[in-house]
Amino acid sequence: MSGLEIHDAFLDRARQALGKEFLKQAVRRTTDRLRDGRTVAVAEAPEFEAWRDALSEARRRAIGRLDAVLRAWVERARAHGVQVHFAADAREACEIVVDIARSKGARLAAKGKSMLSEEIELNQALEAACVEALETDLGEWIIQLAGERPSHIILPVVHKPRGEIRELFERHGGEPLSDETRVLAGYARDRLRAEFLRADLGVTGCNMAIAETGSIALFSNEGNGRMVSTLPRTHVALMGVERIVETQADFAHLVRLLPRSATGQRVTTYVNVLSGPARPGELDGPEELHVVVVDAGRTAQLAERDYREALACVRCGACLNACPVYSAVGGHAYGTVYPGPIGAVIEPLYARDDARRAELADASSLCGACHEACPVRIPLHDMLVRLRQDNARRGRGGAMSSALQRIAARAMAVPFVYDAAGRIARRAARLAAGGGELGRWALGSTPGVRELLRRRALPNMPRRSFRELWDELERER
Amino acid sequence: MEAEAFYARISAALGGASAPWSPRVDQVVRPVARTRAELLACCEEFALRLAKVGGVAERLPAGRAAARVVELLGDAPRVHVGLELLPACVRDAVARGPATGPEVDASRWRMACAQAEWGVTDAVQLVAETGSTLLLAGARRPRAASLLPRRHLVVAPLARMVASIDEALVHLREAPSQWLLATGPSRTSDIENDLTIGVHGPGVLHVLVVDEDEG
Repeated sequence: MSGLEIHDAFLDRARQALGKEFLKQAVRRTTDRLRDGRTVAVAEAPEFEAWRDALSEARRRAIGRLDAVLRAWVERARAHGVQVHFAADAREACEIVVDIARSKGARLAAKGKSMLSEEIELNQALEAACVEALETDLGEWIIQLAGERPSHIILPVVHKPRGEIRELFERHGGEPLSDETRVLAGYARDRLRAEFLRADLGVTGCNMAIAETGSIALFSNEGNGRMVSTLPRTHVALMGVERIVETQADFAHLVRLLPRSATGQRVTTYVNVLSGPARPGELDGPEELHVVVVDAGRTAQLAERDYREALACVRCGACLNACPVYSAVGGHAYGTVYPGPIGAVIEPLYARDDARRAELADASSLCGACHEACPVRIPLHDMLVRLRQDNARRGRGGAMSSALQRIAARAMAVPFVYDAAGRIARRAARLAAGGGELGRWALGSTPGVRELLRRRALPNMPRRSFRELWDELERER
Repeated sequence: MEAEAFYARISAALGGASAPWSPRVDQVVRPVARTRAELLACCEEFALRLAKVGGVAERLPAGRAAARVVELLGDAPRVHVGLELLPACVRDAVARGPATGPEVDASRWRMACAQAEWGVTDAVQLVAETGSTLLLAGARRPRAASLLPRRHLVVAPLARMVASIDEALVHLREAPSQWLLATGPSRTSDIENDLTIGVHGPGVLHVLVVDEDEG
């Protein structure tokens, strides 16, 4: 696959997205709402920056000695009766869950929202083993009925208008419904309730594990996560190996920051913390709790010092909402499980050889809004620059474009050459802009520039550079 | 994959094995004792916060709590945690009518919860900062009481009020099988960003804060 085709894949999806009026407006409206919510939440908490510092430190501290902290968590979790499994990759993780389902003779797995489950494609694995996998988060259920993928980490169905949702539900239930949110949510409630009570297996993610107490925590607003971790006899939680904090005090910072960063809520409706299955004498709660600790590229990322900090991510989605690129095109344009700035960074790291994902580093304006919004201060914009450097080094942008970048790097190191090149480039660009078809043709057929112009609009070039203006000012003084 | 091999992989990525980790004992924070004025201030903040997310909280003198419970529950079917966990003044009112407690077996319990209009529970802490109720699971505190019924009633004494989440978590060092911060009714904004209440969890969260020091 050549560099050009790669770019076209993202560009084509982005162009398609921009052509869908509802999608464009819905994504914009959603990201605006969530961003505004966060802004208000930040404004009313004078301690917000101190909390960010504390959570950033706590996450990095735990990841910096992840082997020891994970071991401590496992010991305590096992003491509570949790059955802990370790999966090196997606395939192993799926096999473990399928084996558990088989050993229980499970026919229906009711699922809480889990991005990790999307990542390892657990539903497909369960279905292949003849276990029905049912999403029960309202948004995820809609996605499942439509046969699509989530387009936002926390609001998976932002791209879908209510009319389409109604049609999906009408096809599902065979009865007419109205477009009202209350009616649609009510339909989901009634239909899914029976399934919660029927399910043999409950599957959830894990927002964070707490080493000190050997617990796992699930944040939710709807309550389906509680249903699937309470009612079925067996509960399986999928946990990314990096999702751990050391102490309950560290966890308190997450309770404050995750909801505020995600939606602007002070706290999610439910923060559900589990330490083992139901204990003797308890009337409900699962008989067995299995936690599958999944690597799937994360330790490889841990070994990469330049990108290690991205493991601190708490999956709040604030960087998506802050990103001008995500806000314009939505999640599907990325073609990955995790979209937005965090997706552009972690997707190529999780799947090291996938050049298609590597190119997402270009789906950014490098404005740094993602870093500003991140509750754990991951320098996503710096990482995107480094990913671009990696791409250039591997010649992923196309040979000509790489050569051009190498020449530019040389030129920029020598002031005289840089000035001269700048003058020529400005003149050429102005000529092209003023010269109509001919100018555009001339630029568009220059190798290297041609590739660049497929993805970037040509800026309006000033007559004189900043340096020239500055020299002039100096002379006038 | 074997546990040791898995740890070794992480150690290698870190550039060497880390020293064993265990929590420092001196990290333990002691709960704060509060004056009545402080408790009342917390209670006000609690009610405000809970109202903002669609829940209801009211502070009642012990003498009026039972009447309020009867008024709220009417003769609707209800499930409840062990009565001994609720303030003495409301126990009769909760147990009256079609009530099911944790004395029944598991299958009857689940059916009762699925059919109940109200679930009545205590809360070990009420958190002013967020308007949250902190619920525990245990033999006398089955989980479905706050999950399956359409409405959830929490009854707890004023003395359970704490200012912050950190303070509430101090009480949880010995991890119960489950603890839950429940803040307001179940909600979703999944459909076109339109907020709707009562998806899977209860659509009503009503908190009665019983003030035992007020006649």
